[in-house]
Amino acid sequence: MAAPATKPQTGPRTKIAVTRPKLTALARARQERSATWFFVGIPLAIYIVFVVLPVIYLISLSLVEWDGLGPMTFVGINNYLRVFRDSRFWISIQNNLLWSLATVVGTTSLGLLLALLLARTRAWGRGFFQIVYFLPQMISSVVVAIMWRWIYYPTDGPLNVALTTLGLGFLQRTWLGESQTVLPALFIAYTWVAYGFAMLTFLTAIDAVDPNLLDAAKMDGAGWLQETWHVLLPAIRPALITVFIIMGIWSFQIFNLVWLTTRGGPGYSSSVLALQIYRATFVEKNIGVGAALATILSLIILLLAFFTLRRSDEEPA
Amino acid sequence: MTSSAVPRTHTPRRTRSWVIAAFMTSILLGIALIVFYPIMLLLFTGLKSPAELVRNTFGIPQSLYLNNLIDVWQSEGLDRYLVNSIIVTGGVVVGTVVLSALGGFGFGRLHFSQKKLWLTLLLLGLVIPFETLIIPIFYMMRGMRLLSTYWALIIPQVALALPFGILLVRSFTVGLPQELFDAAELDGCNAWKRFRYIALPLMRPALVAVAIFQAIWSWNQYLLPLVVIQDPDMRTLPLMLGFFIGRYTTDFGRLCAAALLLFLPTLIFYVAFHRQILNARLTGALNY
Repeated sequence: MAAPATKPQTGPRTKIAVTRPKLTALARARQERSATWFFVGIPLAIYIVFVVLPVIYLISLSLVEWDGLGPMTFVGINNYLRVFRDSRFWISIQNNLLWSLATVVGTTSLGLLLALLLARTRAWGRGFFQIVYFLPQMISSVVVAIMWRWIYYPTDGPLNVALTTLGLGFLQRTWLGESQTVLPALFIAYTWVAYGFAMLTFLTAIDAVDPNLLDAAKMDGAGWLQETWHVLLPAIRPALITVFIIMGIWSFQIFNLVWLTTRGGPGYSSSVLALQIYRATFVEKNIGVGAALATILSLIILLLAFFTLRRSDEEPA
Repeated sequence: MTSSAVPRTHTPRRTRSWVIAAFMTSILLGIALIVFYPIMLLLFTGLKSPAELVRNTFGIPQSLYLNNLIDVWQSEGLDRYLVNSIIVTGGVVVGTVVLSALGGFGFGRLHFSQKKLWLTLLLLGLVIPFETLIIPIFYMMRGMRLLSTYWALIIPQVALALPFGILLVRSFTVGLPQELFDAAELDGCNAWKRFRYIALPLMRPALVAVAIFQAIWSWNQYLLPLVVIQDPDMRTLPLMLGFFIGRYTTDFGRLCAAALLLFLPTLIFYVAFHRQILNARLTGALNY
């Protein structure tokens, strides 16, 4: 570090000492070390105590039976076995998978449509529209929950009133109260929140596509549709995959929106994994089971994230 | 709205392109109205009297009715929760920015052993879902007797934001020219001075980004207060709003009015900082 840039960094420390008075070098090394403790040590210590240790604590909690107050008993993998035998777990996993699928399809199609309209046509006011379109992503989940509870409210909520006004009264539903409609209703609300991220990711990717590529396609007589389908979409493939994975990760973490609208109901028809974690731990006081569920969720997310990280290694942006 | 309706753009005729632009813009405007409508609905509903809400479900309020806002503000003493939210958000932002600045400089500019290992450990924190950490955090905070304090809200949020903050700031400091630091070192600048007078001014954009994202995330945070706050006086605004859903169940006039109080600061903040927020490289940090 103190050596000129031409010297190999791996060179032994003594090399430096030759060019400088020995005492200074020693003092400098000591100073560098205390600087490291200050700059790296403090943030890292807080991170380790409040993130890394909790992870270890979580895993060990998943191996005990505990009600949060009494003594803990070690039960090995029993909690996991209990989880796997619980149908609520499988319903939740299934709902999380449906949630990922629906939001990937919803956010990708809406995000792509908007990104194409903004970047590839001559529409005016791109900056303004970008601001408007991204706004839902800023809104607190509590506000989103209130908003959509109102829209879906059965007796005089806007959606049902609109259906009546249009003469489609027979389509009226208790949108969040029926097991057939509750998930699609929540998917729409969540897509409304999350498509902004997809749009921005696509927009950046489209802007980065080499214009020569598109010009060449034009020379070959490709129309707008062909150009988009055969040239543009392959070029932004990395962005598409990023959106798929991030949406998958977010969908498996979903908690607030479900908790604040349906609490997983009716029955367990809109339950998700994060909700089961909360319920097992803080409602049923089965901390071991909650921790086992949480460990499983972490592994799923880790697996999904692993693909993103490996990809970003391959294709440095 | 399908792409087949989109005219080809490869014939650049002046008059036609004007028409196309107008057409495209009107499509965008139409979608914007649909997307924006739920937000407008929140505003309209919060400002209508119960009687008008029955008559006029969708439209603009015919007369401005502020009683919902005033009622909810006074009867619930919302100012207290607002203050809590501001303190917590402020504390989280300051803590995250300071520690990210230190760590970002340390990881980008100092040399120490096992740096790669520590960086990997930080990377891990980017993907640990908060929904799972909440269990150990609750029992740790209980063990430290910190439940229902500001600390229980601030510390975990700061700790969990550090991977994003440090890695972002590091990506700034790593790219700075080495000559800058060599020259300063020759002039006798120790690590602190190199940080304070060279790196800090240069990493300001990164720190601003960290602050903005952290502010939004913290302001909207619901799950952490739900778990670690038991004293009603210590509730934050989103947590209180969550309780309103249970209490006012169908009184949507009041619910929407209360939601507006949480939403309006976000809106102002968003409009003020949209440039940084819309930097797509960072939006992934807005985990919902």
